Amino acid sequence: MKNEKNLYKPFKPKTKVGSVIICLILIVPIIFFCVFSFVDKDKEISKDENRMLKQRPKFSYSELFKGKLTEDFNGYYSDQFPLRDFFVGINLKVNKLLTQHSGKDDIVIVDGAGKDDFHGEEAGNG
Amino acid sequence: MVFSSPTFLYIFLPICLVLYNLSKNVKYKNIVLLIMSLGFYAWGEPKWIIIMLATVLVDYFAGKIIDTYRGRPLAKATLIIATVITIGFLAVFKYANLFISSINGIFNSELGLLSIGLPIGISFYTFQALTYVIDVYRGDTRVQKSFYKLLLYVSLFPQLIAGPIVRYVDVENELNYRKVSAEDFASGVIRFSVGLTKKAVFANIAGMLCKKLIENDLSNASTLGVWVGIAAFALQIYFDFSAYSDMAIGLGYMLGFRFRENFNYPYISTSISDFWRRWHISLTQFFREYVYIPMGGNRSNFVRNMLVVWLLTGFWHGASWNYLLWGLYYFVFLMIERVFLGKVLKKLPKFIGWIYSMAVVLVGWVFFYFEDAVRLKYALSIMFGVVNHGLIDPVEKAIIGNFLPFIIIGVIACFPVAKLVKNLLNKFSEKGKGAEVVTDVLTALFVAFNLFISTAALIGSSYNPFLYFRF
Repeated sequence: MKNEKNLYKPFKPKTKVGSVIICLILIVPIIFFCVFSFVDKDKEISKDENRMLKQRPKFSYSELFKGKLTEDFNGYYSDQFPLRDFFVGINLKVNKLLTQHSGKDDIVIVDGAGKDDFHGEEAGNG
Repeated sequence: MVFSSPTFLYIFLPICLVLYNLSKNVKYKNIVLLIMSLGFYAWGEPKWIIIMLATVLVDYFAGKIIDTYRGRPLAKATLIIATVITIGFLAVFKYANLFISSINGIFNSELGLLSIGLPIGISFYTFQALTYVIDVYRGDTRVQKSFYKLLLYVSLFPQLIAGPIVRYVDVENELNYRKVSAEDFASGVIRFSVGLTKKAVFANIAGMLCKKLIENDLSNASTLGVWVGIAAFALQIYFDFSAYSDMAIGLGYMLGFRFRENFNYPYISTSISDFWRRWHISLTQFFREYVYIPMGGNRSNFVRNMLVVWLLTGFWHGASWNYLLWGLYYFVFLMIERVFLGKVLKKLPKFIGWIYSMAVVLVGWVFFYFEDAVRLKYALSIMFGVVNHGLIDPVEKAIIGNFLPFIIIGVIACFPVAKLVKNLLNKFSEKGKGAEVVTDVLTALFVAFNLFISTAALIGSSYNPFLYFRF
């Protein structure tokens, strides 16, 4: 028996049904999105971001060994994730709530008359 | 691979959990876990897996030799050789270039730097492998006759990349026997989801604030700007690091492993001694167990032992001299507390101890953050008014103002709010079946919310608009 020092004392669900439901809250979405992301067709452009979305990287042993292939795959997977625009939108809202910024590295300038924000150039450039 | 990525959450994890739970006994579960863990490690940089395999091979054979020749000089010699080789890997891959460039700086030489990278997780798995071989020598654990089980222990994906540093003796039994009920799995899910949000949302936003205030040129940074920038870094590193431990512990629980806590609300510390009992606990435990006590601990050469441990603690965190300075900084305060300040603090209200601790810790983070000595000195000069850049500047004020909602929530999250909520819910649920159901519903909603918001943050981080300007 391990000594108890600093051992994690978990917060446990109080009912059996509760436990099962909480398990499913993780398992069902991750399986669903996993399957769906492979079945779903890849998109080419993002209208909102005004850029081409990353496509499936071509396999090569040298790229794999360098770690470049997996890096490219990560980027591709994010760009092609199901309901991507929806999640991006949610994240922008969360960012706006917590930081009052809606973009990544821009400075949001709110002028005194309370007119619309506009995106300025990236902060810290040069 | 990292936990906070869509690839981990939506490809690796479902495949791993499905295969793991379809495996009919521990033997097959271990095989699944080993293959998935090696894949997890190799995903980032496949070539480094060789170094990890070599480390485990060395310590595996060392363990067998030590066990066979127990009590004889060969056992001790094997321990020393294995330790030197294991630490040698770490020394070469992580620190060699620092030493070479330092020698070049001191002697004006032009020795070439090694063109090698840093194997991911090497600072963690090296120490884990060491706990095995040292504990076998000490007789604190039985030798592991199966190479694949030892490799499984070292490469276990929940703690491979970012800790906690798990002692072999802590998982020895679990390698052979694990049972996971729905309740256990759900407990793991709860903890994992907390870590995920802490990392994907909180740590990343703290990082954004820190970057805006102190990442770039400091020539216009105001005093308050630098202080808040460092405070943002303090939040970022705490949320980031403790989130990985949360996720590791949660994932471990889902798989049947019980890891120890690695963070215990370090930003409520009332002394520096207290801080180091709450921050990266597994590291301080490692140094205490395997360096401090063998060197004599409190009993002999106490000051020397403390100095060695704190220099190592600092240096472990990064291959740059500022980390050594950071360790030394804490050594000084720990000694001051030992000599008299600790007793004084105990007599004063806790609030005073907390203010003192937070001030020391914040300034400590300055030594940690700035690897460049010139920038480090400059930042400290601005913070303490030696260089006068004014108290606050309008752009920084606007940035801080914008981030205020996050700052408030972030600071609150440093306090044991979760502990309080857990205790309240536990008490509430004792009232009856209805209360139990309500508690579970709230918990389920909390988990769902965390997963949802974290997924949004992870996908959202790939948001990369190409801006153009209408002239």
